[in-house]
Amino acid sequence: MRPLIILFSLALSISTFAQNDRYTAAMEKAVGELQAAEQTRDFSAPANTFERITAAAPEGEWLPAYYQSYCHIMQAVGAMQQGKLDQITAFLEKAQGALDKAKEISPENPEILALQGYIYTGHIWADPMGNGPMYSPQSVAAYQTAIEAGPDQPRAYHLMGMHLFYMPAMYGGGPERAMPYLEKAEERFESYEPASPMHPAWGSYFNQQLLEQATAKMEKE
Amino acid sequence: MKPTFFLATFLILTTTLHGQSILAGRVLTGKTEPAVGANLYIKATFDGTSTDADGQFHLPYLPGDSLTLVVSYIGFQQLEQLIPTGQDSLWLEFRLKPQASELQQVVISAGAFEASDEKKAVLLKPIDIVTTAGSNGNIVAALNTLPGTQSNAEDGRIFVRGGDAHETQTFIDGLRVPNPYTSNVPDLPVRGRFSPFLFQGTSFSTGGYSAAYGDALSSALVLQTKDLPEASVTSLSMMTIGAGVNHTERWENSALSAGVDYTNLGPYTRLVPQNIDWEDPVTAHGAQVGFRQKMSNGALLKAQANAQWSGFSMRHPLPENPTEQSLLSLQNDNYYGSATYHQLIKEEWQLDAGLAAGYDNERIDQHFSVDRSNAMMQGRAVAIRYFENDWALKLGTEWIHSDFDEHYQEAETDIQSAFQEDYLSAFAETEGYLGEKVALRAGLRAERYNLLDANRLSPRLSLAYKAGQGGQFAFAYGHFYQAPQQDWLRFTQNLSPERSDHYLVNYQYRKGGRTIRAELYHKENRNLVQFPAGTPWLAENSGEGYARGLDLFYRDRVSIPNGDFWVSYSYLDTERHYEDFPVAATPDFAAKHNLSVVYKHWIQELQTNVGLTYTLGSPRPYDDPNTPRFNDLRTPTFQDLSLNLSYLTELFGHFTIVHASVSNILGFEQSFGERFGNQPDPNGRFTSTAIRPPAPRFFFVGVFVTIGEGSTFSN
Repeated sequence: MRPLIILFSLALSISTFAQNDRYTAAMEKAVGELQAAEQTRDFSAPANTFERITAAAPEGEWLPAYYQSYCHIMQAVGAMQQGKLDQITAFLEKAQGALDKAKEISPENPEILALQGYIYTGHIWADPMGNGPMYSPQSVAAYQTAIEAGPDQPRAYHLMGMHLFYMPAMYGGGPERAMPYLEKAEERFESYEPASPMHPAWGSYFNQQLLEQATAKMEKE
Repeated sequence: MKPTFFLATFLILTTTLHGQSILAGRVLTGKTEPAVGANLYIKATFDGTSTDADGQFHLPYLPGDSLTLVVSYIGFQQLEQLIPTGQDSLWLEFRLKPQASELQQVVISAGAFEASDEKKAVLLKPIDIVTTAGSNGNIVAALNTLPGTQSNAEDGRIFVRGGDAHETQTFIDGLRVPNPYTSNVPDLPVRGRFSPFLFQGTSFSTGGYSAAYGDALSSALVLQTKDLPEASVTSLSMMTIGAGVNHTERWENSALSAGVDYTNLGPYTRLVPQNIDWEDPVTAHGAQVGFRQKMSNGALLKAQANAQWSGFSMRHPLPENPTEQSLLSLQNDNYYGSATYHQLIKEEWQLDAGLAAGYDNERIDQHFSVDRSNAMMQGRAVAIRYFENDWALKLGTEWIHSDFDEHYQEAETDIQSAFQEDYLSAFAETEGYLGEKVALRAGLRAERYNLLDANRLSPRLSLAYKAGQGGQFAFAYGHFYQAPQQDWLRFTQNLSPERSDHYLVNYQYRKGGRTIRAELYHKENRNLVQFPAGTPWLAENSGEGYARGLDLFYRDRVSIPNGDFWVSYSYLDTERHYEDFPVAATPDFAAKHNLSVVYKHWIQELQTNVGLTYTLGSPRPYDDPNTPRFNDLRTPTFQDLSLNLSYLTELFGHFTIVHASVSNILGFEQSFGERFGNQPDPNGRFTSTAIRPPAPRFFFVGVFVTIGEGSTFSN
């Protein structure tokens, strides 16, 4: 009897191992696609790849849904930059769906909480006058929750700084108010070590750009 | 909705390479439009591919067990296709359907103007109401720029498609508001009682509306209050006519707000020339409290209460004696409170329940005195069942109790009238889709008018048919009943409900920030209150009438950069033979042609929004009792051009709006005919007074400061 159980559990662990192996391989490939997309600014390929992995990911893995959401947010950024304002909402809704899955797996995760703020900020691009009053406080609250959940994590500071940088001064934004967050993000980007090569590592280049722009704007004034 | 797809089973020549088979095909949106970059993958594996620029895909797979292919594309419903075992290679063609939330969806549009930020398919957002020139923060004035309304600037209320003002009912969170307008004497315009900032959504229906709303002959204005506010905030307003302060405190799952306001037109009326000889210009005090609680089960409880105390006195000539001014005063106390409960159960059921109570007291003194009070209590419960196939069934019931009491005194006359009204109703309505192109809403409403001892059953039907991209036709039909207005019920309750049948045909086309709407309607009114014996004491329900016309609307938010405009035109042909009309005639509130042009422009460099509103109303009839013919005189054409400026800035680091507006900037001569006395003078002639606006122009400057949002940014 006993050998049978051993054999059975061995088979089970082998199959689990094989599945994890396939997952790791798929993630490595997808993260590679994502890195390429950061250059080409076309995120449709990694968005699709991460969507597939999310649908079949082993239990407890939040990264595929997180990255899927991130890719859709980047697609919304692209739509905003090309002036296709009507597409922004569709991308953000898809991003929200993916992020909700990630949240279920890892509820208090600062990376996920920061991305939630990013989605709220994105809704403002679609209609600043109409959506700003509602989404701006929501995104700020999300960044603050993310900072409280992970004070050493750079991306919540970075996104808060970005949000404030683009927000008109009369609504409580502007370069002066963005600066402290961008600087704190900078410190953390320098010391931050991702938990694995697959964990989030984006944002430091754009943060530097924003720092330079904010400094230049403040010197002008 | 069940995904539909076309599985073209062209078996390609077996191309078994290394034991692999190929799934190939293409993905389309609509008939021929390729879906570029759509995601195709085999369920429970990491294997998949994306479509190319022609919507085509090519996916090698290991044939073995049956598998499920998933097709996912942004903005469209996800599809799943079972691929049976034993297939070598397959050619598949998928046609995706837009997600229900996308704009292309066919919606019930006949008669309804939605102004809500919940739905994306909106025509007017709440911010549009506030920034409409000439509205001065009055919801009603902004709605009067929509088609189907007849401008009656001397009255201020909403008149819809040949219907009198009381034929439009206002509902807040589903509950009927008994006194939606401020209190006033005839020929002085009223305002909406509620601030547009209280609401997150507005739906203005000019006919053929849902069975969920009743006791309204012409129109339903449905307002939805805001849910939980986003953050704690204090707002201050300082205006040329008053000041106000409001604070909202937001906690994790609840919020409490309280505010007071004070209005005094005294300084303003002394500074700006008036057509009215004010004794005590309008003063008003108001207080509001609001509470929101999100329950642990996801339900939302909303409660609010308002109180307003207002009054004025002025010297006003009587039509019977136009040369002599007599003192006229009005005092009004108004209280209204409501509580609603909203809960979703597993996305299958929605429950809405509400309670409301109100009290209004009005005292008018001239050579006569009126002391009138109205108390109201109501309850409402609605359950909605959502089915998986996108159909919904709505069931509801409501009860409204009103208590009317009036004391009228003039010389020897002393009349006390009082009555109690109980209105009960139940309704059932279903809404959903018949195929891809047709939306249907069908409902039935049963009403019990206790005071009139009458039961009525009204069917309501709306259909919408999608015609091409962005276009749709709609049709609506319904019976509508309403109790006679209190002005007549106080004389006799031996009456029955008035009735109106609506027929509407509508075409709407919407694409990328432009909307065109055209609506043709016909309304048949019967059982209207009439005085065949010459006195309202002996009123009967023998009156009748009709209204028909065409409403046109065009809105464009894209053609002019940073500009936004809409044009509304209404053509109305109506006659009624009711009340004291000796023959069928067009009532004095109905203008044949109404035109509104609203333009808004955002000037980025100045952080300023500029708004212009032009209104035109063709002459309206009125009666001169000195001539044998009825309603043979005409008011002059009414024209107005209003301007407003909103400058967004910072004051002590707080978000601030400076708002200024002027009405009638071009100085059009505005007058609204004459009011004749009830009795002829000793020479047998009826004398009259001219009806004019209270002032040739209205100026307004206000500063609105928002404190609180900024504090969230402090480090």
